[in-house]
Amino acid sequence: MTSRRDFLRTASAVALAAGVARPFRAWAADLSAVSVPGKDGMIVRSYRFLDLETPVEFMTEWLTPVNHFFVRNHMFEPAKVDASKWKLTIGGQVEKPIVFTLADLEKVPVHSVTNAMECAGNGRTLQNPKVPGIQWGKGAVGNAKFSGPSLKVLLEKARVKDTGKHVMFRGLDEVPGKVPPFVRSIPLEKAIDADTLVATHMNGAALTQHHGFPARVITPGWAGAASCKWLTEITVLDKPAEGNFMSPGYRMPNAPVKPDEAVKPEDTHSVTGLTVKSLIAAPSDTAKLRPGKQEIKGVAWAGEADITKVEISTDGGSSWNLTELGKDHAKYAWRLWSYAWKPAKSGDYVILSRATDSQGRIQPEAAVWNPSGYLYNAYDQVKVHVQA
Amino acid sequence: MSILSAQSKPLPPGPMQAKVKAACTQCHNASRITEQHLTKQEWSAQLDKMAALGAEIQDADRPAILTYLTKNFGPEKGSKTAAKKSTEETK
Ligand code: HEC
Repeated sequence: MTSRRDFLRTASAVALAAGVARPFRAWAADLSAVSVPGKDGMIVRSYRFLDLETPVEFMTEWLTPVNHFFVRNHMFEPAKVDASKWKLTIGGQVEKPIVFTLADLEKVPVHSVTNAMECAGNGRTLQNPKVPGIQWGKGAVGNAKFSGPSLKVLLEKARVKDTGKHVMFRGLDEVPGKVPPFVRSIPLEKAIDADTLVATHMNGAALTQHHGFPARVITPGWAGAASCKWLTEITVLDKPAEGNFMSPGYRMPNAPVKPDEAVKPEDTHSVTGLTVKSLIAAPSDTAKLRPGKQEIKGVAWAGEADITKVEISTDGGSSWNLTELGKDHAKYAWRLWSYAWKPAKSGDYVILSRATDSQGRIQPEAAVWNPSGYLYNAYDQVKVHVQA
Repeated sequence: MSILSAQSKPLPPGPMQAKVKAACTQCHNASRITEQHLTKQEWSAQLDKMAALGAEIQDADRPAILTYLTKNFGPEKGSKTAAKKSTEETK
């Protein structure tokens, strides 16, 4: 795999990466010497717009360091926001439309949530047949501690009217051509959950540019698209938001469909909470191992549910063994797991992992194929060779 | 060593290379295109979607662009769609 994976290394052309580029600007033909400062070792899935994936081998820590946290952009990142001029408005179905500055937000009590955030399209490239979209491998997922005011507290200040049912977010992303703005909404019940945040901090430090400085939504347990970055406008609506990123974007068929089957919009639903899933961080796929004790380890998460167990098979799925779950845990966070393995003899092994959650969901052998490749969660798999 | 996997796979030569580059790399890099494996029907839907987002595709060029995209970035060999295609073709 490593040969196919290309890492960022040299430092140059910062502006290209940081989204400082403006729509329709002439583009350097040779991007081979480009790096994304502060994002070392990441897999570049797309350069413009910037989409960075975390190598699965990095997933051995409970909190993903910010420099190794995946980045997903639908369009250009805004030029670095001037924190002293930034404003957040709340309007729509509220009694008292309100404007917050960053200083205002700092006066609101801070709440923290450790959230395993995953892109809805994570694992898309593993779908067969392939579907359009960023061809993410396994690593559009990370676990970080986000802190800031509960959205609920801010909404209370604006006093949501009885007619308010959904809460829409708009970020400062810059839109090229006729591309519609990245606006999406979440239902009011989720918005007023105390754990839904307007986060200003990630792992104890102010948000960085790529992660939505100065403030972003955190809708914990849900696909990343519900956690708008560079937040600037909150609008309370009487019905779900409309537009490309609500429909047809981020919708899945209610029942499995065949690849060439047309799906009617009324037979689809919005992607919300994440499914149950585990990944194997070590050993790496195609690793050559010496005989003797090995540690198989990785991460598992289940959106709004808790991981109850992670099992490993080293014989391609005939038998399964319980792994030990890591000590660190929190609602919405991922769980580390590990398993001590002593291969009986030299040869090729297929290692599989499968997680089970508190809702009784079990990571399936095969994921449900869907036209946009959302929520891929088949057993994770690595193949290794053991040789004396 | 090349750094960008998707980047290092340039738009392949062909009669439509220049036109695709002009029409399709203003907003995003060519990697958004070169990483895909889609059927002709799916590429056609992508062209409609991109046109709606602001891509300028001349009517006269559209069929050739579609052929170029499908030829170079069609379903992978061994994929379910590809397998199905070939059984249909032998029917
Ligand atoms: C006006 C800007 C613009 C132009 C010009 C443009 N695209 Fe796109 N394209 C987008 C946006 C926005 C996305 C979605 C990016 C995302 O969500 O990550 C996209 C995504 C894609 C994708 C990935 C599939 C998906 O749904 O995410 C493909 C394939 C694609 N474009 C092909 C093309 C082709 C072929 C052309 C030339 C005919 C083209 N684009 C021209 C804006 C543009």
